[in-house]
Amino acid sequence: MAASTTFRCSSLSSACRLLFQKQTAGYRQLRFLSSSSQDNSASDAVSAAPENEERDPFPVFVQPRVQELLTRITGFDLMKVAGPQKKPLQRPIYKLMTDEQLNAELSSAKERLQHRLQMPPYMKPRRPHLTPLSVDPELAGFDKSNYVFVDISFGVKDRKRSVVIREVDGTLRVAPWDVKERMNQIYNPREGRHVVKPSMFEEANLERMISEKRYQYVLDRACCQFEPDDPDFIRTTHRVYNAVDQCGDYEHLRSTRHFGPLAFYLAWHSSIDGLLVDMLDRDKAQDARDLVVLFADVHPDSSCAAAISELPQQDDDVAVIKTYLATDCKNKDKVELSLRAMVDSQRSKGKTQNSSL
Amino acid sequence: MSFKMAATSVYRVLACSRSKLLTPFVCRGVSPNVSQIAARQLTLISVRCSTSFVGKVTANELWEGVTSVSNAGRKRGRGKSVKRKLDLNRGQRIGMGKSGMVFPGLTGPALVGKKLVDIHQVKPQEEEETAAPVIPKRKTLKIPALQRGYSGRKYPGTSIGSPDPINDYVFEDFDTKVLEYKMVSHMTGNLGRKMRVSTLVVTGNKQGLAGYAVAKSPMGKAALRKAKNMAGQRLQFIELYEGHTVFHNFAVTEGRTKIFVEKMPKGYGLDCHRIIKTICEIIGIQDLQAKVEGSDGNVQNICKGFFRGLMEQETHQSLADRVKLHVVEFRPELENVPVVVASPSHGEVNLEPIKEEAFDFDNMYYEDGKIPLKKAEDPLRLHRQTEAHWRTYLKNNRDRNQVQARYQRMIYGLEPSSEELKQRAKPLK
Repeated sequence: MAASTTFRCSSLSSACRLLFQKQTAGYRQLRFLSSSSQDNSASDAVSAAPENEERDPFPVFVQPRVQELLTRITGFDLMKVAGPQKKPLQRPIYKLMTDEQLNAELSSAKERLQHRLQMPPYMKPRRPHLTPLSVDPELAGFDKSNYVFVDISFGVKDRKRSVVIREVDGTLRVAPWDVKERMNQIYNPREGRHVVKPSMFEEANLERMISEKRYQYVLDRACCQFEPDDPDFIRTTHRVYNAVDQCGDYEHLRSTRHFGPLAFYLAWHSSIDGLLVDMLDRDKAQDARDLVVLFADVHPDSSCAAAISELPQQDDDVAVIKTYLATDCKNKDKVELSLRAMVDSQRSKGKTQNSSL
Repeated sequence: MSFKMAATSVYRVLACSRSKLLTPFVCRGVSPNVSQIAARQLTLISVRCSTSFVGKVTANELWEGVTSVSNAGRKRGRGKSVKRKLDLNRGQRIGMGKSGMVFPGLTGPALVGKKLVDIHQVKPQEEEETAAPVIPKRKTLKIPALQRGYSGRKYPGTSIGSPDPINDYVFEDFDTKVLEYKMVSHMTGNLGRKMRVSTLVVTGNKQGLAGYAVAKSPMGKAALRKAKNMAGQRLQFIELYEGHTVFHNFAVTEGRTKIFVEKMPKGYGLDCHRIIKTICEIIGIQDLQAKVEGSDGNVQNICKGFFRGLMEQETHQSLADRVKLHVVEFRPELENVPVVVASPSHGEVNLEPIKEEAFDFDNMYYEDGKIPLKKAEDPLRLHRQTEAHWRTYLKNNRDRNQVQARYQRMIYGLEPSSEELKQRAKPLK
């Protein structure tokens, strides 16, 4: 982008203060003001985009039952959530505590860190705005460059902020997503987000990071840099989820905010077998059951969902997993082997417990 | 080329026959340029000679000054290192230069029969006398920087290996470092002042096992060996917190030496007196801050006091057993999540919390409740002394982020090319 010049329009009413940017290096005086509210027209433009046949995962993802399942299988390892953070060196503090004080501290720490596991929403890529808001041929050639108008009224959220462009040919349209994000970052900068997309997210560099198994770092930074419906965010995260699934590195993401979206991604694309085997190998029967239920919730029309709803005892973990095995499982041998091993180990554990009692 | 050689030869001749220097002479057959140069040299030398020792003492007398030792000195053993007399003229003929030029009247006869001889060069003959052997300078082996001690080629701070094995026991993974190496003396009726070498060394396996010892011997190496082996027999086990630091802050006093030790987080390093640093390296302590006050040159007291302080530490486990409460650690990099580092070993935890209102673990272990004073210092205080200082500081730091910003631009491909920059640097027309 060429160097831009910003004017603040002091003459406007305080309700809708507009800032607009001129996309050339030339310096001119303010010519005209647009005082009409863009909120409604902007949303119209989004809805005006052609309806895609593809199913939208977002409504499924935000269902309370799905959210609960995802939260449960994410787990909560306090030390991993707290994790060693990069901070300047500080001396630890020591305290002498009774049991009661210690438990209170532990529970408060858990509460404090709960927000760390807030999952980024799973969305489909946003569509570009195509329909212009208004075409005014009489304004054509008003300047050599486009003008960008940004609503900087107090309290407007970044996602709700209206940003429009008056093009050189007189067309007024909703700003493309990249322009909107750049304007948001300029007027409402967020820590950790760069105006220019970091080169880490380029395909070659991303590949290197993934081969080094720095999944969490890539995902964290993607969360920081992109909006959840940004095509770049979706491309990056899906690339990482695929790599995790292929290498079986699910443990890297357990107890992080990315485990839920990972499980949802796998369920959405009907490839939960690897994760299921991993859970069974780690004796996480409850998690495995939750994953199968999640799969059924995501695909309500599948034979697995129908079979599970007909189960007499829906709390029985093994029964639910066996139902999945019988219906939609693609890698039956492997899952069955892991399931049997898990059941055997549980039985032997139960025996030793009984004998010790 | 030949002219230059001629000039140097003349100079040599003049310098050597110094008794005749003051009488001007005419050198027949010598080109006027050469004689002019000779005359110039001549005046210079004649002025300086008047105040020099040259000509006042003989060569033998000079040699005597260098080579002789007094009788008293010879008794104390100074005769050994004295220099021998050298024949400096070996392989040289007085009056002859390397090039073999002959200056008639000076280095050879002016007349052969009735004929005047011109300046000429005689081809160098095979030297009868062998030239004085050039004594090669003794090459000093360079010690790698990390193996050097505190100062130069001296012992303190250097490593001297593990103690010698005792019967079957081999000191594996042990290392010994010299802390002090000094001459000490006492008076005897017969020999007078009798010198010995006193050494202090510390040995350890870098995992908490360490010992120190002082030993004396007339020979330095023997003293070091003796001290090293004695230190190997005086090992103490020092428990470390997570293998990297001490359990708590403490202060010790040994004689007039006071040591204030502070526990530090992992990655801090050793920030202390060099003696304490060496001891820490041998024990295996990686992170620690210490301040030595009072007598900070008394190596033996520092060593003794520091070892005593380490041994008198209270571990977290013994603290938990004593107060019957959990010892809980809160680390900022772990978001201050409580981590239990020790619990009462018999499982009985007091129901009553600790009563002291201002319980402060950091200052718990100072003697007599005397807490070291820590002043908060402004890191920029030197720059804030005057308004002008501050302005200069701001001016010097104006562009401090530009290098980093340039790298960022290069990564994003936004940095203009060198041609573009040149274009921009041109003045506007």
